[in-house]
Amino acid sequence: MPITPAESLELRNLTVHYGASCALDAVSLFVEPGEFVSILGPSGCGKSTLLRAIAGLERASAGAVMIGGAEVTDNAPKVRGVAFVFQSYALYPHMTCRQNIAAPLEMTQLSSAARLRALGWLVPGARATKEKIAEKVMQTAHLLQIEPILDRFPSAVSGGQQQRVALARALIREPKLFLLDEPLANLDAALRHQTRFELRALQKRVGATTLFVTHDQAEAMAMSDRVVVMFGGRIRQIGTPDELYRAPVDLEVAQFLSQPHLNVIPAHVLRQAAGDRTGAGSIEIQGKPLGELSGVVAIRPEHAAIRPVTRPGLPGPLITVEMIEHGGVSAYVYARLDADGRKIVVRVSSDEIPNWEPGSKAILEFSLNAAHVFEDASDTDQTRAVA
Amino acid sequence: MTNKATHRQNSVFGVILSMPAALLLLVLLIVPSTLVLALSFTDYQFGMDSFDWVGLRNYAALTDLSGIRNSIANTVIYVLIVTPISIFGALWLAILIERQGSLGGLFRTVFFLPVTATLVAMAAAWEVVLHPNFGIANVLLDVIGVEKQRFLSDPNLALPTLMGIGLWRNLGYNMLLFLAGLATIDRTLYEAAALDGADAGWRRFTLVTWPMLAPITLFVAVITLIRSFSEFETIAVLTLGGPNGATEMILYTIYQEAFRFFDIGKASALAVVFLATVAAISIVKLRFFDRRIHRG
Repeated sequence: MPITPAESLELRNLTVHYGASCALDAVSLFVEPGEFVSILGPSGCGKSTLLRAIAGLERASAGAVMIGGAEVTDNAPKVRGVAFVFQSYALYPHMTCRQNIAAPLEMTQLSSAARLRALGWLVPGARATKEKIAEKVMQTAHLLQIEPILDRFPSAVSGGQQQRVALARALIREPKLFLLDEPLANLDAALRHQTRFELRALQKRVGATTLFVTHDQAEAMAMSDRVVVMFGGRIRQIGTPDELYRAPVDLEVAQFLSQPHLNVIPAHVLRQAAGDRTGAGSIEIQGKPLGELSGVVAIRPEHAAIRPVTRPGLPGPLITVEMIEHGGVSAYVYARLDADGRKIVVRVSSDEIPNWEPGSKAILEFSLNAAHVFEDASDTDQTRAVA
Repeated sequence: MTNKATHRQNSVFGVILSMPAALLLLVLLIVPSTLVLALSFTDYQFGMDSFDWVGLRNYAALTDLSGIRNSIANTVIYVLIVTPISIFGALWLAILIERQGSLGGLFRTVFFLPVTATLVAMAAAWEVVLHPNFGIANVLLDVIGVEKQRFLSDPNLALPTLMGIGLWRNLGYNMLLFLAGLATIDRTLYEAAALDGADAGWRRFTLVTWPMLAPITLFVAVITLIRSFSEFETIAVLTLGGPNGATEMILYTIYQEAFRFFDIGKASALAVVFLATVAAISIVKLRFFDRRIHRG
């Protein structure tokens, strides 16, 4: 499919105010041509506002939006050359899927008179344009494999098909920039998984620069070249999925990226339980000696392990199992730290489920190299059980 | 309990629940309409003890009477002019007012006021406004140098004047319905339209606003049509059908036949024709447009 060459996107201190509150606070970002970038953050972090400001649906209070090196900050949405796929798809319910897909071209290439079904043929050139549009619709529909449903109304096709129609309507304009606002959020789990794969393949094929907003970290990690993590209207971290996983910039980002939970233990609690040295020397977490550590240590469930208190091993914090959750090949043990009652989650093989009855005591172990240390993070743990 | 028993219980419960509405419908609509239909085949006169069946004679008489033909003609003209202006004018007002930020509330109130007041009282107020000598309308005409008009007693002006009052009343009501309809349109459709190149004016209206308003427009059209056909109060208060029959309309004629000439049979026949016409137009409209609105 012919597509205009991908363009870069640059944001310079882009700021959006809603009345007194600041939805977007001096966001700067550069996206390479053809890149697939996810914008990840909890609801209300400004990620949708960011996308809408790029599209021109939201007025920037300050800063600049540059597409392909040209400033478009004050341009109307229709002249920015961006396509936007809404979470709700926003298909026109009174038009067939075919008419929906054709709408952007009909609106920009045909005059009002030419669009009339009864009089359109009187307008010179309208017929040729209409034929060209019809052909383009077929090409786009073929790309998304939705030819069979073209003459149905959006309400008569499935959610996944509606999503494809919305994608087709976006693609047909050959946009310089492809903006997707949680397009997978309304699909069921199986379809979501399949669609995210197809979406990425489609993006590779058409090569359009793509911004993808999501609150699902797994989705962002799976699809993106780079991920932008946003909190409270600001960008917290930009990096490849691997960089985010290995080196989250702060505790909040680490917590957001770690599902279903990030174990956060203050260094002094860990010291009390495990001491700061073994027979082999001082304990070091990511190269830092535990004896001198301040702040907190964060451990992902997949980097933690537990062993029964009766089995010998290195000393470690004592925990009490509360429940265990089956997750297919692995299972999550939910437990409380005996020292202060905070929540601990450990991933184990689902074969081990019978070993961990609620109430059983265990010792928490973790990989010293995979744990993260946030020395200046204060212990804001809210998970402690009320004794 | 078996499924069948549950089903039967449900349907019994359903019948019980619909009883009050069904009863009211019967007492207020079906029984009176049936009686009117029956009376239209009689020569019953108001206050008489007995009547005879006369078959279709009342209906035949309707076509003969020039007074009734005049009344029907007036009604048709009135409906053809007042209905479309009431619908599209109200739509236009609603769109203008919706875009108004701070003044929207004021305009909404101003246009809706006529709906809140009793029309008979309002008609009396209009009588003062339109008074040939000291009415404010003529004072204003005088100011701009136009000759004074006898709005309600000039045969050429009486019907248009009533149309004006009808519009004044319908616009506010319809506008409010359209405003409610506009408020329910999904904002993201407008945003999608803005990205698709229809960000304002006629393109946006034809792509989103008008199609999305179709259900409410249908409702407004049917309601306005019925209201226009049943124009009565302004005639009864302002013109009494005059001057010289210039403002005779069907409902007023029915009323006169029944309660001034006490010819219940003829009035009933006229009422039946009236009811059948309005119902037929409404049903055709609903049938035709409903399919187009709720397709897919």
